[in-house]
Amino acid sequence: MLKVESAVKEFSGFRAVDECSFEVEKNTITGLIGPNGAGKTTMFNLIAGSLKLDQGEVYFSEQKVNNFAPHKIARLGLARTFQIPKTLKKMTVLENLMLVPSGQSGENIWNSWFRGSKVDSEEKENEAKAYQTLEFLELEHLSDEMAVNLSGGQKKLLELGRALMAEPELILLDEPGAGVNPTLLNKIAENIIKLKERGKTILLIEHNMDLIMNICDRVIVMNDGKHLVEGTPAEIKTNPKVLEAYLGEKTA
Amino acid sequence: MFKKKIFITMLVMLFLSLTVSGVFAQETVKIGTLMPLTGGLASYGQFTRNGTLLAQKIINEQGGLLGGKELELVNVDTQTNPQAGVDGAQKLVSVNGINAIVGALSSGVTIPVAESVAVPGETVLISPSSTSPVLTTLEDNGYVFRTVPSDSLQGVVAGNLAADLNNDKLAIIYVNNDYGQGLNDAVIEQFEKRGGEVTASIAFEPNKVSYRSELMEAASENPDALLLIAYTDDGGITIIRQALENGYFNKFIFTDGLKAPEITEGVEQYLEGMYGTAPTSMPGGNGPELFTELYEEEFGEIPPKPYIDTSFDATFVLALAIEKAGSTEGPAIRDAINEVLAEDGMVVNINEWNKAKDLIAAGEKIRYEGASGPVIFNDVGDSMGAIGIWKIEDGDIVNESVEIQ
Amino acid sequence: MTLAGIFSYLVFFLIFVGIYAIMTLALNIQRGFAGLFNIGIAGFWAVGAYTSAIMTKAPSPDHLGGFGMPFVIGLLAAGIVASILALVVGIPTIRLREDYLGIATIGIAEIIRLVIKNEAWLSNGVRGISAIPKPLAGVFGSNYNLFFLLIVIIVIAIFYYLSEKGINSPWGRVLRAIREDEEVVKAAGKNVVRYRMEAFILGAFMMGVGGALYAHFTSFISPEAFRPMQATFLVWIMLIIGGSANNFGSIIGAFLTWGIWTGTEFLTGMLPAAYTTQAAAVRVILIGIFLEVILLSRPQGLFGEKKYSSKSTANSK
Repeated sequence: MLKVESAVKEFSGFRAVDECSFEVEKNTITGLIGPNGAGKTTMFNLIAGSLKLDQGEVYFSEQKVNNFAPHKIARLGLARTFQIPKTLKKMTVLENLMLVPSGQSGENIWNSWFRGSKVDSEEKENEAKAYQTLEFLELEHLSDEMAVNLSGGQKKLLELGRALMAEPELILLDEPGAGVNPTLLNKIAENIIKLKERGKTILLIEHNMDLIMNICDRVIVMNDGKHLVEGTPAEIKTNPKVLEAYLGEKTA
Repeated sequence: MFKKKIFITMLVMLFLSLTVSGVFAQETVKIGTLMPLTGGLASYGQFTRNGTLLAQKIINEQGGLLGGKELELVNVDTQTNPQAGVDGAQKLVSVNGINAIVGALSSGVTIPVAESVAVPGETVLISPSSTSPVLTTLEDNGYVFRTVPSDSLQGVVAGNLAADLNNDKLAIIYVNNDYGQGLNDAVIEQFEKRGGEVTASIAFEPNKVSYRSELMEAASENPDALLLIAYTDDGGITIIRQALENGYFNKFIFTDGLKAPEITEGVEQYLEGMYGTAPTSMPGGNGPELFTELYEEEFGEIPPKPYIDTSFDATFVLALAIEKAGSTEGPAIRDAINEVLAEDGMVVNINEWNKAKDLIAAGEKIRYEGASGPVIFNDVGDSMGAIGIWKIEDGDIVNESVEIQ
Repeated sequence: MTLAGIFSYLVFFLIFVGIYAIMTLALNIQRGFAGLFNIGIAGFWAVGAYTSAIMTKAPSPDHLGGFGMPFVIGLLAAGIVASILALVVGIPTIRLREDYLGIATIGIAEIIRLVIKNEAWLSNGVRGISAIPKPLAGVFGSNYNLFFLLIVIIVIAIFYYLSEKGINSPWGRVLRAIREDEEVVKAAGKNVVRYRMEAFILGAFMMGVGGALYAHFTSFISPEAFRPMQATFLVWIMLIIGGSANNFGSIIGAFLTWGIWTGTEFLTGMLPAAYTTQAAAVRVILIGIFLEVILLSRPQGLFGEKKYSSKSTANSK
């Protein structure tokens, strides 16, 4: 589904991502963990096209997508959320979602002007889909609320909702559990599992180890921009290298 | 709601300003003036406006016109800009009900005013200073006149002057506008006709900090003199200073836009004895002297700026035509202008309004010895022109002689 | 002063307001909706004016053409050429930060002005193009301006409709989203550059048509008419006064600003003739005060930003 080969990204001499390689299998939930500054979010940005690779390759569904523009990668079926939720503040929750689907004929201004009925019927479908997504996330009561008025956790859900609206194959989730209360966290975890049941592939960055241990099929650990180890949650839990990386001590 | 209040206040103010001006209106005869009081030509508009006011004063002191009505002048500020000028002109025609206008100064305003307001609104427009050759050929139904000659006339005189001053090679730097272009073309034609060679003809953009590159290019083939076509406030003074500072030129010929004492300030000794040209009064009669005298009585010393006298004349001619027509309707005024003025008519001086009225009443034609000399229009409404030659003596500007074209 | 006179000035005044309103609506699409910083309106205005003049005039030795085409073709050509200009300016700059686009548009407006001034074969240089035909001149006699006002109103109505419909459509939703957060829009698979470019071109088209109307109305254009003060900054003032991102506000902003600009003339015109020069200066101060009052009391403009939403959302509850 997703393959990263020897990815390198430097920021003025500092290697945030250093020869990192890994693969994500289709229809799995894969956790990407590592201490702060390990290069996880940078890796996300490289995969999603927001940053350009200095070296290495990224393959998505067998296709090499190195340095594609973000919107092109998104159209291939990759959706992402951001570490700090990004919302379209002065637009309603519903609009936040309805923005997402690609290939809307009303996105062509000519159609908006002169093919009103086609655009309208598409909009109705789009709206119905947005409501379904809101139901799935249990946010339907907020549909007409401006996104700026949502709580932090609700914004996280909205991000997830936007990712869903794109009907992606692969979803990159950047810390979906950060700053979220335990009840909401459970809900988010449930939703992620439901997504897998629907056949999606999920790659998530998370610091909450309970979440990782509960839902992930595999876990990849990054440290200093490098791929450190990889395995099932149970394997990772007991791996001394991981402990070492997190504690920052040299025990060997 | 605050915004509503403001909105209403503004509407009320607009409306008030529209109506109040009407309340005070008495039975007067109105002539409009379109003078720039802000913007690029503001320093000219202030004085040309005085020229029109002087004519108004003389006429009203001598009993007004159309059977004792006062002459009223209504000015709008063109802001030296066509959008504002056209709007102002329409205001004069529609709101003030005026069908005779003096203005505008620059051709870039006069022509759109003529095309979109004066001609469709059947309003007579006399420009005291628009010298563009385009005005000559405008399809104006006879509504557009000017009391200055076309640029091409001054160019011929300036070309001759350059040749008469024993220059074989001449460089020209001209302001890149309608006026500069027209003069430049005419100078080149005349100077070459006289056997001279124009080594460079360079347009400059106004208000730059440095004109050294233009000057360097102009001086490159060692011309004898620089003919500078510019205004004082658009870079002309800078060019003179930089030409002297860097020794590009020590001999200059100037045109009317530089006929101003500012050009010699601080560099008197270097400009001593330099010559220039400027449209001026036709000889014959003592209109110009009389005008200077009357102007100084009213406003103090007359500034050496052009088009004050032609503005006076434009106003006076419109008054003559209104008197002749016995009406303030545009078509009647237009026809009356050429009916009342004649080269061989009875002489009327600028302070003889009463005499003019009597002559008109008697059905006589009038030779108007205007402030800028006798005013006679050719059949396209252009004034016959006289070009003066001036000289810098002891740091002052002195008129030398006059050429008639 | 007669009622008929006031009416005829009002018509004239509204034509100018209308032309400025077209410019402001156009700028609103670029600035209000898409956040594009165009400070070269004068350039698009001039290109539209000259294009239509050259297309519709009878053949003349003084400049390119004219081609004697009908008025409507002139307007369309003006819009198209202005759009092409926007495309050319936009390709290198539109993906950059907004201030770069601003610099580029200032530059292009100045280049256009200089080309018009100096390329006499094209534009008759500084002498300008005169005798630009007025559509159906002669048919309406002294009511001609009323007819022209009708044309202007029709153009405004079309542009207003298209702009409102556009901003309330999915297309407008993407534009508004771009203004909120570009990254989100990219992550949703939208080509942000394309939408910006479309808004820029659409605005330029409208500016071109507005310029053409100006040319036909005044019958004469020269480089003097396209100075930044009257042709660019006044339009910005109108947009700011009316309220950015509000089409209706744009039109009212044009009306009020031009009203203040010219209406103050009536106020100062009531001063005695001896004070004409001072009155002109007072007028400029008055304009400043009026605008200041509005901006201090309504910093977001008279109407502020309108709440736009895509159509079916608005209907859903």
